[in-house]
Amino acid sequence: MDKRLEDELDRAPKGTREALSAFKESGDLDQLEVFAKGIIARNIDDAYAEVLNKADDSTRMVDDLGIDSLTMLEIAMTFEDALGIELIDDELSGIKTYGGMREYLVEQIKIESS
Amino acid sequence: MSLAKVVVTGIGVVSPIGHTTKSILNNLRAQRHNFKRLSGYTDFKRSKISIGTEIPDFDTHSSLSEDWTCPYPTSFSKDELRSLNPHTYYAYQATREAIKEARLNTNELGEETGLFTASPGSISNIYHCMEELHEYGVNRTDPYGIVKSVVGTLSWNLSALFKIKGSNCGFTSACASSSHALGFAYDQIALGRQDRIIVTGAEDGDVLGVLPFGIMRALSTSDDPDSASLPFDSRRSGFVGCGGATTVVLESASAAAQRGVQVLAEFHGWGQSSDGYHPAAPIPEGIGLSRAIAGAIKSSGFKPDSIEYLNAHATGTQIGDLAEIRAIKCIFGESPKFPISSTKGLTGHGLSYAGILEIALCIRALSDGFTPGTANLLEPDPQSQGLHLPKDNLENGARRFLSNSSGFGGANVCLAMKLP
Repeated sequence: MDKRLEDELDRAPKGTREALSAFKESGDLDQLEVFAKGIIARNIDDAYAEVLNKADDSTRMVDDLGIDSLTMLEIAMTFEDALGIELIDDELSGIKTYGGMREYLVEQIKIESS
Repeated sequence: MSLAKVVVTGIGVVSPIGHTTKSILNNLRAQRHNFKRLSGYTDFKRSKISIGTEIPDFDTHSSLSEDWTCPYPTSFSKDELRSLNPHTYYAYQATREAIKEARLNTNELGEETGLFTASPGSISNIYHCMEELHEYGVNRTDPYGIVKSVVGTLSWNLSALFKIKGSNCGFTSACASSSHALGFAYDQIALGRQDRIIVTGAEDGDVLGVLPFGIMRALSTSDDPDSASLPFDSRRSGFVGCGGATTVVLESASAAAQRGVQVLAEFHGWGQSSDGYHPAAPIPEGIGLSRAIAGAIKSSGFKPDSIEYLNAHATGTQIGDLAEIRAIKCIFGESPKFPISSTKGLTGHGLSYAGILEIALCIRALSDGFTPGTANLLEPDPQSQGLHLPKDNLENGARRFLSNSSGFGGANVCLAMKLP
């Protein structure tokens, strides 16, 4: 694990690193979501924390969570390195909601493992 | 066409000798520097440089800006923090103070207000960005790497943070950069193109930004903090680099009067020139700088015998100080009456923000009733004979002053101001 990823996991909310390990061991999608939420929380302002906690499939990435395109790249880098997947720029920029992002992550993990 | 009068209405300084008016005045009056031995300098192989300086109460050592601390309340969003570098962090605080003193509010920082900046970018951030590029590859570098490092970073960060919508431009002429920014801001306001311009100069001043000057033999090799920065002194061996930021609010006298705000200084004019001689060294006779001084005198209408103080660029390098001595004598003769000093004896050399820092220090000191001397000047260079180079501060009530700056390639600026 490189230093950048280590730093991100160190600075993410408690439980993020553990959720990543648990997902890798069991493939439990609930753990994947805990990990993903932790990484998003690490990268957005505290003012959006409550919205993220209650996020559902329709929560908007830009308007509700304040994630701009460069922040999205930061988050995507961590997902790629932590999960060993590749996220495609064109597809990534098409993701508008929290639910869309979760679906996309699961899809890419499936592709990578097949 | 008549030119609008230009005045200074706000100043903010984040410097090695303080970040409040009170601490800066106390340190100027007591001639107290903040030079110290820094392990960051001596850790490098073949380094003969050991003395540097830091900003008191500010900590920007971490490579992650979210870890930085300062004595002021901050409310940066994570996005804002990601695009900052140390000098922009200093400049944000300096600008906040300057805006406060100028009694401006956010509504006034619209189209009527411009922003002129001077910074070389963040050399350490460029270095880190390149390190990531080599180690992790293109798609693993910091997405904000360019935004927080290259020249221009000060402009786009400050304009976004303060919602400035007027003209926005950066100046790069090495150690004359912030003086050029002030001069061209003067022109814009005098010509009626902008009511007000916030001028900011800033430098990281960290090890990676300063130590590369060592190979040029431009840095002080002294290991004694008390005799490391010695402008005009025969014992000088080079400058001590410093980081920090200074912001000056310039506006038309009529805009300032309309707002009923206090005028800190009147900006009467400026001159500039280029040596056209060498990419780094000044022309030894100081001919270029003398033309800048002559330009400032002409532009301001100051009579040479009415000048009461000259703040020198003098950084403490052998050739630079000599060229400036000759430039001054070329314009004012062998023994002008007014005192000449370099405040770099206390602050060190702020590189691209040196000129604006010195304007701020001049206005603060002269307004407080004293003219700064050149601290630690015990053995004046023999070539300076005839010049009035006081070591100690003078209580002479000077009001009309000039301030010199020179950068690489002989980029010279002289600014002319007067207290109201």
